[in-house]
Amino acid sequence: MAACIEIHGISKTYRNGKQLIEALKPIDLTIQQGEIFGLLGPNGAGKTTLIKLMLGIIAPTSGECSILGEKIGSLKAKTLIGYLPENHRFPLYLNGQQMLEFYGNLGGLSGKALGKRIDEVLEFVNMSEWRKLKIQRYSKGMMQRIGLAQALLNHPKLLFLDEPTDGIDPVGRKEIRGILEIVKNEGTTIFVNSHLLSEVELITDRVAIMRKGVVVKAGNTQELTQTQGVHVITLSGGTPPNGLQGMLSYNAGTREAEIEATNPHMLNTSIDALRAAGCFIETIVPKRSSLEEIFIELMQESQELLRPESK
Amino acid sequence: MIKIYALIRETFLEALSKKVFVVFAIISTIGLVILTAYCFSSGFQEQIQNLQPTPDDPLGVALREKLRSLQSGISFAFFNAALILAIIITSDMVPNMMTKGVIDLLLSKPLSRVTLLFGKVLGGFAVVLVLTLYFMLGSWGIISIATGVWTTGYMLSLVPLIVTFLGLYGVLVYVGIQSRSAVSGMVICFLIVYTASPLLFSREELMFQAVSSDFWRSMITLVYHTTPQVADMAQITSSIVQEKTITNTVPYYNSLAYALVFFGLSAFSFSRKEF
Repeated sequence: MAACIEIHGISKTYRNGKQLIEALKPIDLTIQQGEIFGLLGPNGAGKTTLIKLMLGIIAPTSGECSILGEKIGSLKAKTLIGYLPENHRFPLYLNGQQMLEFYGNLGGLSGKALGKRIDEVLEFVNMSEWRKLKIQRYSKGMMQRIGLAQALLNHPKLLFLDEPTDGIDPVGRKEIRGILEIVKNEGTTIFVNSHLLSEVELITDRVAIMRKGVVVKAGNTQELTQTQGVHVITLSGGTPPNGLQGMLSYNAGTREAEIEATNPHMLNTSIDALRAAGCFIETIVPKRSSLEEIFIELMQESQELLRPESK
Repeated sequence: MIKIYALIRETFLEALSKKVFVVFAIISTIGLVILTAYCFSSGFQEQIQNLQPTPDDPLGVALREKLRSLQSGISFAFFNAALILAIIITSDMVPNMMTKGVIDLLLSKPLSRVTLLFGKVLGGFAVVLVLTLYFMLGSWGIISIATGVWTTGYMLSLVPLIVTFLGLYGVLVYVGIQSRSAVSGMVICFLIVYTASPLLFSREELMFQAVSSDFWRSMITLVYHTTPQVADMAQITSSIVQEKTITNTVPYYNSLAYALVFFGLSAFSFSRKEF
Protein backbone atom coordinates (compact mmCIF):
# COMPACT_ATOMS: atom_id res chain seq x y z
CA MET A 1 0.00 0.00 0.00
CA ALA A 2 1.33 3.45 -0.91
CA ALA A 3 1.49 6.22 1.66
CA CYS A 4 -1.28 8.79 1.71
CA ILE A 5 0.15 11.04 4.42
CA GLU A 6 3.85 11.19 5.21
CA ILE A 7 4.88 13.19 8.24
CA HIS A 8 8.57 13.67 8.95
CA GLY A 9 9.65 15.41 12.13
CA ILE A 10 6.80 17.87 12.04
CA SER A 11 6.50 20.08 15.10
CA LYS A 12 4.68 23.19 16.21
CA THR A 13 5.66 25.76 18.80
CA TYR A 14 3.40 28.67 19.62
CA ARG A 15 4.54 31.91 21.11
CA ASN A 16 2.40 33.25 23.92
CA GLY A 17 4.00 36.55 24.84
CA LYS A 18 7.52 35.64 25.90
CA GLN A 19 6.54 32.05 26.58
CA LEU A 20 7.03 29.33 24.00
CA ILE A 21 4.44 26.55 24.00
CA GLU A 22 5.48 23.33 22.32
CA ALA A 23 2.11 22.07 21.13
CA LEU A 24 3.60 19.34 18.99
CA LYS A 25 7.01 17.73 19.44
CA PRO A 26 8.67 16.32 16.29
CA ILE A 27 6.41 13.59 14.97
CA ASP A 28 6.96 10.91 12.34
CA LEU A 29 3.87 9.17 11.04
CA THR A 30 2.79 7.46 7.86
CA ILE A 31 -0.83 6.83 6.94
CA GLN A 32 -1.45 4.35 4.16
CA GLN A 33 -3.89 4.84 1.32
CA GLY A 34 -7.30 3.35 1.84
CA GLU A 35 -7.10 2.91 5.61
CA ILE A 36 -9.12 4.46 8.37
CA PHE A 37 -6.68 6.01 10.80
CA GLY A 38 -7.73 7.15 14.24
CA LEU A 39 -5.99 9.86 16.23
CA LEU A 40 -6.64 9.65 19.95
CA GLY A 41 -5.57 11.63 22.93
CA PRO A 42 -6.86 13.71 25.83
CA ASN A 43 -7.65 17.40 25.46
CA GLY A 44 -4.52 19.40 24.76
CA ALA A 45 -2.64 16.39 23.40
CA GLY A 46 -1.95 18.15 20.10
CA LYS A 47 -4.47 16.29 17.92
CA THR A 48 -6.15 19.40 16.54
CA THR A 49 -2.77 21.05 15.99
CA LEU A 50 -1.66 18.03 13.95
CA ILE A 51 -4.85 18.13 11.86
CA LYS A 52 -4.51 21.87 11.30
CA LEU A 53 -0.93 21.36 10.17
CA MET A 54 -1.98 18.69 7.69
CA LEU A 55 -4.75 20.91 6.36
CA GLY A 56 -2.36 23.82 5.93
CA ILE A 57 -4.33 26.01 8.36
CA ILE A 58 -1.19 26.57 10.42
CA ALA A 59 2.45 26.34 9.39
CA PRO A 60 4.82 23.85 11.04
CA THR A 61 7.75 25.12 13.09
CA SER A 62 9.88 22.32 11.68
CA GLY A 63 9.56 19.17 9.62
CA GLU A 64 7.75 18.20 6.47
CA CYS A 65 4.45 16.65 5.55
CA SER A 66 2.98 15.59 2.24
CA ILE A 67 -0.40 14.34 1.14
CA LEU A 68 -0.24 11.95 -1.80
CA GLY A 69 3.08 13.52 -2.70
CA GLU A 70 1.80 17.10 -2.54
CA LYS A 71 3.20 19.51 0.02
CA ILE A 72 0.68 20.30 2.75
CA GLY A 73 -0.99 23.67 2.46
CA SER A 74 -0.60 23.77 -1.32
CA LEU A 75 -3.75 24.32 -3.38
CA LYS A 76 -3.08 21.00 -5.13
CA ALA A 77 -3.00 19.17 -1.78
CA LYS A 78 -6.22 20.89 -0.73
CA THR A 79 -8.04 19.65 -3.85
CA LEU A 80 -7.39 16.10 -2.58
CA ILE A 81 -8.87 16.74 0.86
CA GLY A 82 -12.33 16.67 2.36
CA TYR A 83 -12.74 18.02 5.88
CA LEU A 84 -15.41 17.97 8.53
CA PRO A 85 -14.27 20.17 11.43
CA GLU A 86 -15.17 19.75 15.06
CA ASN A 87 -17.73 22.32 16.28
CA HIS A 88 -18.33 23.40 12.71
CA ARG A 89 -20.47 26.45 12.17
CA PHE A 90 -22.13 26.15 8.82
CA PRO A 91 -23.93 29.28 7.56
CA LEU A 92 -27.28 28.94 9.31
CA TYR A 93 -28.95 31.35 6.88
CA LEU A 94 -28.41 28.90 4.01
CA ASN A 95 -30.33 25.74 3.30
CA GLY A 96 -28.57 22.43 2.73
CA GLN A 97 -28.49 22.80 -1.03
CA GLN A 98 -27.14 26.39 -0.88
CA MET A 99 -24.52 25.40 1.65
CA LEU A 100 -23.27 22.59 -0.60
CA GLU A 101 -23.27 24.94 -3.60
CA PHE A 102 -21.16 27.41 -1.62
CA TYR A 103 -18.54 24.91 -0.48
CA GLY A 104 -18.64 23.15 -3.86
CA ASN A 105 -17.87 26.46 -5.60
CA LEU A 106 -14.99 27.09 -3.19
CA GLY A 107 -13.71 23.63 -4.11
CA GLY A 108 -13.76 24.65 -7.76
CA LEU A 109 -16.95 22.83 -8.79
CA SER A 110 -19.72 24.63 -10.63
CA GLY A 111 -22.65 24.30 -13.00
CA LYS A 112 -24.22 20.96 -13.88
CA ALA A 113 -21.28 18.97 -12.55
CA LEU A 114 -21.79 20.50 -9.11
CA GLY A 115 -25.57 20.02 -9.28
CA LYS A 116 -25.13 16.35 -10.13
CA ARG A 117 -22.57 15.84 -7.39
CA ILE A 118 -24.80 17.55 -4.83
CA ASP A 119 -27.64 15.17 -5.74
CA GLU A 120 -25.28 12.22 -5.31
CA VAL A 121 -23.85 13.21 -1.92
CA LEU A 122 -27.25 14.21 -0.54
CA GLU A 123 -28.62 10.85 -1.59
CA PHE A 124 -25.57 9.13 -0.10
CA VAL A 125 -25.95 10.73 3.33
CA ASN A 126 -29.72 10.38 3.17
CA MET A 127 -30.40 14.13 3.23
CA SER A 128 -32.10 14.69 -0.15
CA GLU A 129 -35.42 15.27 1.56
CA TRP A 130 -34.01 18.11 3.67
CA ARG A 131 -32.01 19.96 1.04
CA LYS A 132 -34.35 22.98 1.00
CA LEU A 133 -34.59 23.25 4.77
CA LYS A 134 -32.60 26.02 6.48
CA ILE A 135 -29.55 24.63 8.27
CA GLN A 136 -30.59 26.33 11.50
CA ARG A 137 -33.48 23.87 11.66
CA TYR A 138 -31.27 20.80 11.29
CA SER A 139 -30.73 18.40 14.19
CA LYS A 140 -27.21 17.56 15.30
CA GLY A 141 -27.30 14.31 13.33
CA MET A 142 -28.53 16.07 10.18
CA MET A 143 -25.83 18.69 10.65
CA GLN A 144 -23.15 15.99 10.75
CA ARG A 145 -24.58 14.27 7.69
CA ILE A 146 -24.73 17.48 5.66
CA GLY A 147 -21.20 18.20 6.91
CA LEU A 148 -20.10 14.82 5.62
CA ALA A 149 -21.81 15.55 2.30
CA GLN A 150 -19.85 18.80 2.15
CA ALA A 151 -16.59 16.96 2.85
CA LEU A 152 -17.32 14.40 0.12
CA LEU A 153 -18.29 16.90 -2.60
CA ASN A 154 -14.97 17.00 -4.38
CA HIS A 155 -14.38 13.20 -4.43
CA PRO A 156 -11.60 13.53 -1.83
CA LYS A 157 -8.75 11.07 -1.74
CA LEU A 158 -8.32 11.86 1.95
CA LEU A 159 -11.07 12.65 4.39
CA PHE A 160 -10.34 14.42 7.68
CA LEU A 161 -13.06 13.98 10.28
CA ASP A 162 -12.78 15.80 13.57
CA GLU A 163 -15.17 14.27 16.12
CA PRO A 164 -17.64 13.10 13.45
CA THR A 165 -19.98 11.33 15.86
CA ASP A 166 -19.74 13.68 18.83
CA GLY A 167 -23.16 14.47 20.30
CA ILE A 168 -24.98 12.05 18.03
CA ASP A 169 -27.33 9.33 19.24
CA PRO A 170 -26.39 5.66 18.72
CA VAL A 171 -28.60 5.29 15.64
CA GLY A 172 -27.02 8.35 14.06
CA ARG A 173 -23.56 7.07 14.94
CA LYS A 174 -24.32 3.75 13.29
CA GLU A 175 -25.47 5.57 10.16
CA ILE A 176 -22.27 7.57 10.03
CA ARG A 177 -20.20 4.42 10.55
CA GLY A 178 -22.04 2.88 7.62
CA ILE A 179 -21.29 5.91 5.45
CA LEU A 180 -17.61 5.81 6.39
CA GLU A 181 -17.37 2.14 5.57
CA ILE A 182 -18.72 2.77 2.07
CA VAL A 183 -16.36 5.72 1.62
CA LYS A 184 -13.46 3.56 2.73
CA ASN A 185 -14.46 0.77 0.35
CA GLU A 186 -14.36 3.30 -2.47
CA GLY A 187 -10.66 3.75 -1.70
CA THR A 188 -10.75 6.98 0.29
CA THR A 189 -8.32 7.29 3.17
CA ILE A 190 -10.03 8.49 6.33
CA PHE A 191 -8.32 10.28 9.18
CA VAL A 192 -10.52 10.40 12.28
CA ASN A 193 -9.97 12.39 15.41
CA SER A 194 -12.33 11.33 18.15
CA HIS A 195 -12.85 11.12 21.88
CA LEU A 196 -15.30 8.26 21.45
CA LEU A 197 -12.87 5.40 21.79
CA SER A 198 -15.45 2.68 21.30
CA GLU A 199 -16.40 4.31 18.00
CA VAL A 200 -12.79 4.55 16.92
CA GLU A 201 -12.24 0.92 17.81
CA LEU A 202 -15.15 -0.09 15.62
CA ILE A 203 -14.10 1.75 12.50
CA THR A 204 -10.34 2.23 12.43
CA ASP A 205 -7.64 0.04 10.92
CA ARG A 206 -4.84 1.81 12.76
CA VAL A 207 -4.62 4.32 15.56
CA ALA A 208 -2.09 6.70 17.07
CA ILE A 209 -2.42 7.82 20.66
CA MET A 210 -1.06 11.25 21.53
CA ARG A 211 -0.24 12.89 24.79
CA LYS A 212 1.37 16.29 25.40
CA GLY A 213 2.36 16.70 21.77
CA VAL A 214 3.92 13.25 21.46
CA VAL A 215 2.68 10.08 19.76
CA VAL A 216 2.97 7.61 22.61
CA LYS A 217 1.69 4.63 20.66
CA ALA A 218 0.73 3.85 17.08
CA GLY A 219 -0.28 0.65 15.45
CA ASN A 220 -2.91 -1.71 14.10
CA THR A 221 -6.13 -1.43 16.14
CA GLN A 222 -6.54 -5.22 16.31
CA GLU A 223 -2.96 -5.77 17.46
CA LEU A 224 -3.08 -2.97 19.99
CA THR A 225 -6.20 -4.29 21.65
CA GLN A 226 -4.93 -7.87 21.76
CA THR A 227 -3.53 -8.83 25.16
CA GLN A 228 -0.34 -10.69 24.33
CA GLY A 229 -0.34 -14.34 25.36
CA VAL A 230 -3.63 -14.36 27.25
CA HIS A 231 -6.49 -16.52 25.98
CA VAL A 232 -10.05 -16.82 27.19
CA ILE A 233 -11.33 -20.41 27.22
CA THR A 234 -15.07 -20.87 27.62
CA LEU A 235 -16.16 -24.19 29.04
CA SER A 236 -19.55 -25.79 28.67
CA GLY A 237 -18.81 -28.59 31.08
CA GLY A 238 -16.46 -29.41 33.92
CA THR A 239 -14.30 -27.24 36.18
CA PRO A 240 -10.63 -26.38 35.62
CA PRO A 241 -8.32 -28.25 38.02
CA ASN A 242 -6.66 -26.29 40.81
CA GLY A 243 -3.13 -25.26 39.97
CA LEU A 244 -3.62 -25.46 36.20
CA GLN A 245 -0.46 -24.09 34.58
CA GLY A 246 -0.88 -20.53 33.32
CA MET A 247 -4.41 -20.06 34.60
CA LEU A 248 -4.91 -16.46 35.64
CA SER A 249 -8.56 -16.63 36.65
CA TYR A 250 -11.77 -18.60 36.36
CA ASN A 251 -15.26 -17.12 36.43
CA ALA A 252 -17.70 -19.81 37.44
CA GLY A 253 -20.67 -17.71 36.35
CA THR A 254 -19.57 -17.20 32.76
CA ARG A 255 -17.47 -20.38 32.83
CA GLU A 256 -14.56 -18.44 31.37
CA ALA A 257 -10.95 -19.23 32.23
CA GLU A 258 -8.12 -16.84 31.42
CA ILE A 259 -4.99 -18.76 30.51
CA GLU A 260 -1.61 -17.19 29.94
CA ALA A 261 0.22 -19.03 27.19
CA THR A 262 2.95 -17.17 25.41
CA ASN A 263 3.43 -19.90 22.79
CA PRO A 264 1.25 -22.57 21.14
CA HIS A 265 2.98 -25.37 23.10
CA MET A 266 1.97 -23.81 26.43
CA LEU A 267 -1.59 -23.28 25.19
CA ASN A 268 -1.91 -26.90 24.06
CA THR A 269 -0.52 -28.13 27.38
CA SER A 270 -3.23 -26.16 29.18
CA ILE A 271 -5.92 -27.47 26.84
CA ASP A 272 -4.73 -31.05 27.42
CA ALA A 273 -4.86 -30.51 31.19
CA LEU A 274 -8.39 -29.12 30.94
CA ARG A 275 -9.55 -32.01 28.77
CA ALA A 276 -7.90 -34.50 31.15
CA ALA A 277 -9.84 -32.89 34.01
CA GLY A 278 -13.10 -33.59 32.13
CA CYS A 279 -13.68 -30.08 30.88
CA PHE A 280 -15.58 -29.59 27.66
CA ILE A 281 -14.12 -26.64 25.71
CA GLU A 282 -16.56 -24.50 23.79
CA THR A 283 -14.38 -21.63 22.52
CA ILE A 284 -10.80 -20.38 22.73
CA VAL A 285 -10.16 -16.75 21.81
CA PRO A 286 -7.21 -14.41 22.35
CA LYS A 287 -8.10 -11.93 25.07
CA ARG A 288 -8.68 -8.37 23.88
CA SER A 289 -8.62 -5.18 25.86
CA SER A 290 -10.85 -2.38 24.76
CA LEU A 291 -9.18 0.63 23.19
CA GLU A 292 -10.40 2.59 26.17
CA GLU A 293 -8.47 0.32 28.56
CA ILE A 294 -5.34 0.61 26.40
CA PHE A 295 -5.81 4.37 26.23
CA ILE A 296 -6.15 4.83 29.98
CA GLU A 297 -3.22 2.50 30.64
CA LEU A 298 -1.07 4.46 28.20
CA MET A 299 -2.06 7.77 29.68
CA GLN A 300 -1.03 6.53 33.12
CA GLU A 301 2.25 5.13 31.78
CA SER A 302 3.14 8.26 29.84
CA GLN A 303 2.27 10.38 32.87
CA GLU A 304 4.98 8.50 34.71
CA LEU A 305 7.42 8.94 31.83
CA LEU A 306 6.65 12.59 31.38
CA ARG A 307 6.76 13.41 35.08
CA PRO A 308 10.41 14.66 35.22
CA GLU A 309 9.64 17.02 32.35
CA SER A 310 6.77 18.67 34.15
CA LYS A 311 8.92 19.45 37.16
CA MET B 1 -13.74 33.51 -10.55
CA ILE B 2 -16.41 31.05 -9.39
CA LYS B 3 -14.82 31.10 -5.91
CA ILE B 4 -15.01 34.90 -5.67
CA TYR B 5 -18.58 34.80 -6.91
CA ALA B 6 -19.47 32.16 -4.30
CA LEU B 7 -17.99 34.30 -1.52
CA ILE B 8 -19.83 37.42 -2.70
CA ARG B 9 -23.10 35.51 -2.93
CA GLU B 10 -22.66 33.94 0.50
CA THR B 11 -21.76 37.31 2.04
CA PHE B 12 -24.85 38.78 0.44
CA LEU B 13 -27.04 36.06 1.88
CA GLU B 14 -25.37 36.57 5.26
CA ALA B 15 -26.22 40.28 5.11
CA LEU B 16 -29.79 39.48 4.06
CA SER B 17 -30.21 37.39 7.19
CA LYS B 18 -29.25 40.31 9.42
CA LYS B 19 -31.78 42.62 11.00
CA VAL B 20 -29.65 45.67 10.26
CA PHE B 21 -29.87 44.94 6.53
CA VAL B 22 -33.64 44.74 6.78
CA VAL B 23 -33.68 47.92 8.88
CA PHE B 24 -31.58 49.70 6.25
CA ALA B 25 -33.93 48.53 3.49
CA ILE B 26 -37.03 49.50 5.52
CA ILE B 27 -35.66 52.95 6.40
CA SER B 28 -34.76 53.51 2.74
CA THR B 29 -38.22 52.38 1.63
CA ILE B 30 -39.94 54.61 4.21
CA GLY B 31 -37.73 57.48 3.04
CA LEU B 32 -38.72 56.83 -0.56
CA VAL B 33 -42.41 56.64 0.34
CA ILE B 34 -42.23 59.95 2.24
CA LEU B 35 -40.29 61.52 -0.62
CA THR B 36 -42.89 60.30 -3.12
CA ALA B 37 -45.72 61.71 -0.99
CA TYR B 38 -43.90 65.03 -0.66
CA CYS B 39 -42.87 65.32 -4.31
CA PHE B 40 -46.34 64.52 -5.61
CA SER B 41 -48.17 66.64 -3.02
CA SER B 42 -50.20 69.49 -4.43
CA GLY B 43 -48.11 72.06 -2.55
CA PHE B 44 -44.84 70.85 -4.04
CA GLN B 45 -46.34 70.44 -7.50
CA GLU B 46 -47.70 73.97 -7.29
CA GLN B 47 -44.24 75.26 -6.40
CA ILE B 48 -42.77 73.38 -9.35
CA GLN B 49 -45.37 74.86 -11.68
CA ASN B 50 -44.53 78.34 -10.41
CA LEU B 51 -40.82 77.71 -11.00
CA GLN B 52 -41.15 76.49 -14.59
CA PRO B 53 -39.03 78.42 -17.17
CA THR B 54 -40.48 81.81 -18.02
CA PRO B 55 -39.36 84.53 -20.43
CA ASP B 56 -37.56 86.09 -17.41
CA ASP B 57 -35.96 82.75 -16.47
CA PRO B 58 -35.73 80.82 -19.77
CA LEU B 59 -33.27 78.22 -18.39
CA GLY B 60 -35.38 77.42 -15.35
CA VAL B 61 -32.64 78.48 -12.92
CA ALA B 62 -35.12 78.94 -10.07
CA LEU B 63 -36.46 75.42 -10.55
CA ARG B 64 -32.95 73.99 -10.64
CA GLU B 65 -32.09 75.89 -7.47
CA LYS B 66 -35.10 74.44 -5.71
CA LEU B 67 -34.18 71.00 -6.95
CA ARG B 68 -30.53 71.30 -5.87
CA SER B 69 -31.52 72.45 -2.44
CA LEU B 70 -33.83 69.43 -1.98
CA GLN B 71 -31.31 66.93 -3.38
CA SER B 72 -28.44 68.44 -1.42
CA GLY B 73 -30.36 68.04 1.84
CA ILE B 74 -31.27 64.45 1.05
CA SER B 75 -27.78 63.43 -0.09
CA PHE B 76 -26.14 65.03 2.97
CA ALA B 77 -28.52 63.25 5.35
CA PHE B 78 -28.19 60.01 3.41
CA PHE B 79 -24.38 60.28 3.44
CA ASN B 80 -24.36 60.29 7.24
CA ALA B 81 -27.10 57.70 7.74
CA ALA B 82 -25.74 55.34 5.10
CA LEU B 83 -22.24 55.46 6.58
CA ILE B 84 -23.53 54.42 10.02
CA LEU B 85 -25.59 51.56 8.65
CA ALA B 86 -22.89 50.44 6.19
CA ILE B 87 -20.34 50.29 9.01
CA ILE B 88 -22.74 48.30 11.20
CA ILE B 89 -23.66 45.88 8.41
CA THR B 90 -20.10 45.12 7.38
CA SER B 91 -18.42 45.29 10.79
CA ASP B 92 -18.86 41.61 11.72
CA MET B 93 -18.39 40.00 8.33
CA VAL B 94 -14.65 39.38 8.63
CA PRO B 95 -14.66 38.59 12.40
CA ASN B 96 -17.53 36.12 11.80
CA MET B 97 -15.55 34.46 9.04
CA MET B 98 -12.63 34.08 11.41
CA THR B 99 -14.52 32.20 14.12
CA LYS B 100 -13.50 28.64 14.94
CA GLY B 101 -15.49 26.14 12.94
CA VAL B 102 -15.92 28.58 10.07
CA ILE B 103 -12.38 29.59 9.20
CA ASP B 104 -10.98 26.05 9.54
CA LEU B 105 -13.30 24.76 6.87
CA LEU B 106 -12.79 27.74 4.57
CA LEU B 107 -9.01 27.44 4.80
CA SER B 108 -9.17 23.74 3.97
CA LYS B 109 -10.63 24.60 0.57
CA PRO B 110 -8.35 25.05 -2.43
CA LEU B 111 -8.31 28.84 -2.52
CA SER B 112 -5.68 31.28 -1.35
CA ARG B 113 -6.20 33.30 1.79
CA VAL B 114 -6.01 36.54 -0.17
CA THR B 115 -8.79 35.29 -2.48
CA LEU B 116 -10.87 34.34 0.54
CA LEU B 117 -10.47 37.76 2.14
CA PHE B 118 -10.91 39.57 -1.15
CA GLY B 119 -14.14 37.69 -1.89
CA LYS B 120 -15.53 38.41 1.56
CA VAL B 121 -14.59 42.11 1.39
CA LEU B 122 -16.04 42.40 -2.09
CA GLY B 123 -19.24 40.77 -0.84
CA GLY B 124 -19.56 43.36 1.93
CA PHE B 125 -18.90 46.13 -0.53
CA ALA B 126 -21.54 44.75 -2.92
CA VAL B 127 -24.09 44.72 -0.09
CA VAL B 128 -23.45 48.38 0.70
CA LEU B 129 -23.46 49.31 -2.99
CA VAL B 130 -26.83 47.65 -3.58
CA LEU B 131 -28.40 49.28 -0.51
CA THR B 132 -27.13 52.77 -1.35
CA LEU B 133 -28.02 52.40 -5.02
CA TYR B 134 -31.53 51.35 -4.03
CA PHE B 135 -32.17 54.59 -2.16
CA MET B 136 -30.22 56.92 -4.42
CA LEU B 137 -31.66 55.57 -7.68
CA GLY B 138 -35.13 55.49 -6.14
CA SER B 139 -35.01 59.03 -4.80
CA TRP B 140 -33.38 60.34 -7.98
CA GLY B 141 -36.14 58.76 -10.06
CA ILE B 142 -38.94 60.09 -7.82
CA ILE B 143 -37.57 63.66 -7.76
CA SER B 144 -36.84 63.64 -11.49
CA ILE B 145 -40.30 62.35 -12.41
CA ALA B 146 -41.98 64.78 -10.03
CA THR B 147 -40.07 67.80 -11.34
CA GLY B 148 -39.43 66.74 -14.90
CA VAL B 149 -35.75 67.68 -14.47
CA TRP B 150 -33.14 64.94 -14.72
CA THR B 151 -29.86 65.98 -13.11
CA THR B 152 -26.66 63.96 -12.93
CA GLY B 153 -25.12 65.65 -9.88
CA TYR B 154 -27.37 63.86 -7.43
CA MET B 155 -26.37 60.39 -8.61
CA LEU B 156 -22.72 61.45 -8.78
CA SER B 157 -22.90 62.30 -5.07
CA LEU B 158 -22.87 58.56 -4.49
CA VAL B 159 -19.19 58.54 -5.49
CA PRO B 160 -17.85 60.40 -2.40
CA LEU B 161 -20.07 58.23 -0.18
CA ILE B 162 -18.68 55.03 -1.68
CA VAL B 163 -15.09 56.28 -1.61
CA THR B 164 -15.47 57.38 2.03
CA PHE B 165 -16.95 54.01 2.91
CA LEU B 166 -14.06 52.21 1.18
CA GLY B 167 -11.52 54.04 3.36
CA LEU B 168 -13.43 53.22 6.53
CA TYR B 169 -14.11 49.67 5.35
CA GLY B 170 -10.35 49.16 5.04
CA VAL B 171 -9.93 50.19 8.68
CA LEU B 172 -12.88 48.02 9.71
CA VAL B 173 -11.46 44.92 8.00
CA TYR B 174 -7.97 45.43 9.36
CA VAL B 175 -9.16 45.97 12.93
CA GLY B 176 -11.52 43.00 12.51
CA ILE B 177 -8.60 40.75 11.54
CA GLN B 178 -6.40 41.95 14.37
CA SER B 179 -9.01 41.93 17.13
CA ARG B 180 -11.43 39.32 15.71
CA SER B 181 -14.13 41.60 17.04
CA ALA B 182 -16.78 43.58 15.24
CA VAL B 183 -17.17 46.09 18.05
CA SER B 184 -13.56 47.35 18.04
CA GLY B 185 -13.68 48.20 14.34
CA MET B 186 -17.08 49.81 14.67
CA VAL B 187 -16.01 51.98 17.62
CA ILE B 188 -12.87 53.15 15.79
CA CYS B 189 -14.86 54.01 12.64
CA PHE B 190 -17.52 55.88 14.59
CA LEU B 191 -14.82 57.81 16.44
CA ILE B 192 -13.33 58.80 13.09
CA VAL B 193 -16.67 59.73 11.51
CA TYR B 194 -18.34 61.52 14.39
CA THR B 195 -15.47 62.87 16.50
CA ALA B 196 -12.06 63.06 14.86
CA SER B 197 -13.13 64.07 11.38
CA PRO B 198 -15.60 66.88 12.29
CA LEU B 199 -13.15 68.27 14.86
CA LEU B 200 -10.23 68.23 12.46
CA PHE B 201 -12.40 69.62 9.65
CA SER B 202 -13.17 72.65 11.85
CA ARG B 203 -9.68 72.73 13.35
CA GLU B 204 -9.12 76.41 12.52
CA GLU B 205 -12.33 77.54 14.21
CA LEU B 206 -12.28 75.07 17.09
CA MET B 207 -8.82 73.76 17.86
CA PHE B 208 -6.49 76.53 16.79
CA GLN B 209 -8.31 78.88 19.16
CA ALA B 210 -7.19 76.76 22.07
CA VAL B 211 -3.69 76.03 20.79
CA SER B 212 -1.34 78.90 20.13
CA SER B 213 1.88 76.92 19.59
CA ASP B 214 2.87 76.53 15.91
CA PHE B 215 4.23 73.10 16.66
CA TRP B 216 0.93 71.83 18.00
CA ARG B 217 -0.98 73.49 15.17
CA SER B 218 1.30 71.69 12.70
CA MET B 219 0.71 68.46 14.53
CA ILE B 220 -3.07 68.95 14.38
CA THR B 221 -2.79 69.68 10.65
CA LEU B 222 -0.69 66.55 10.21
CA VAL B 223 -3.31 64.47 12.02
CA TYR B 224 -5.99 66.05 9.82
CA HIS B 225 -4.14 64.99 6.67
CA THR B 226 -3.55 61.47 7.91
CA THR B 227 -7.09 60.79 9.16
CA PRO B 228 -10.01 59.88 6.86
CA GLN B 229 -11.54 63.22 5.90
CA VAL B 230 -15.14 62.20 6.25
CA ALA B 231 -16.50 65.67 7.02
CA ASP B 232 -14.76 67.06 3.92
CA MET B 233 -16.33 64.28 1.86
CA ALA B 234 -19.77 65.14 3.22
CA GLN B 235 -19.23 68.70 2.09
CA ILE B 236 -18.04 67.51 -1.32
CA THR B 237 -21.27 65.49 -1.60
CA SER B 238 -23.33 68.65 -1.20
CA SER B 239 -21.09 70.53 -3.62
CA ILE B 240 -21.52 67.86 -6.28
CA VAL B 241 -25.30 68.01 -5.98
CA GLN B 242 -25.23 71.78 -6.17
CA GLU B 243 -23.03 71.44 -9.27
CA LYS B 244 -20.30 73.52 -7.69
CA THR B 245 -16.72 73.09 -8.85
CA ILE B 246 -14.78 70.79 -6.56
CA THR B 247 -11.48 72.49 -5.86
CA ASN B 248 -10.20 70.18 -3.14
CA THR B 249 -9.87 66.58 -4.27
CA VAL B 250 -7.43 65.60 -1.50
CA PRO B 251 -10.18 63.93 0.64
CA TYR B 252 -10.80 61.49 -2.25
CA TYR B 253 -7.14 60.52 -2.39
CA ASN B 254 -7.02 60.37 1.38
CA SER B 255 -9.89 57.85 1.51
CA LEU B 256 -8.53 55.84 -1.41
CA ALA B 257 -5.08 55.76 0.21
CA TYR B 258 -6.68 54.55 3.45
CA ALA B 259 -8.49 51.82 1.56
CA LEU B 260 -5.33 50.78 -0.28
CA VAL B 261 -3.08 50.77 2.78
CA PHE B 262 -5.55 49.04 5.10
CA PHE B 263 -6.70 46.42 2.61
CA GLY B 264 -3.04 45.74 1.84
CA LEU B 265 -2.24 45.40 5.53
CA SER B 266 -5.32 43.22 6.00
CA ALA B 267 -4.29 40.87 3.18
CA PHE B 268 -0.74 40.64 4.58
CA SER B 269 -1.94 40.04 8.11
CA PHE B 270 -4.66 37.56 7.13
CA SER B 271 -2.34 35.49 4.96
CA ARG B 272 0.09 35.08 7.87
CA LYS B 273 -2.41 34.60 10.67
CA GLU B 274 -2.66 31.26 12.43
CA PHE B 275 -6.08 29.98 13.37
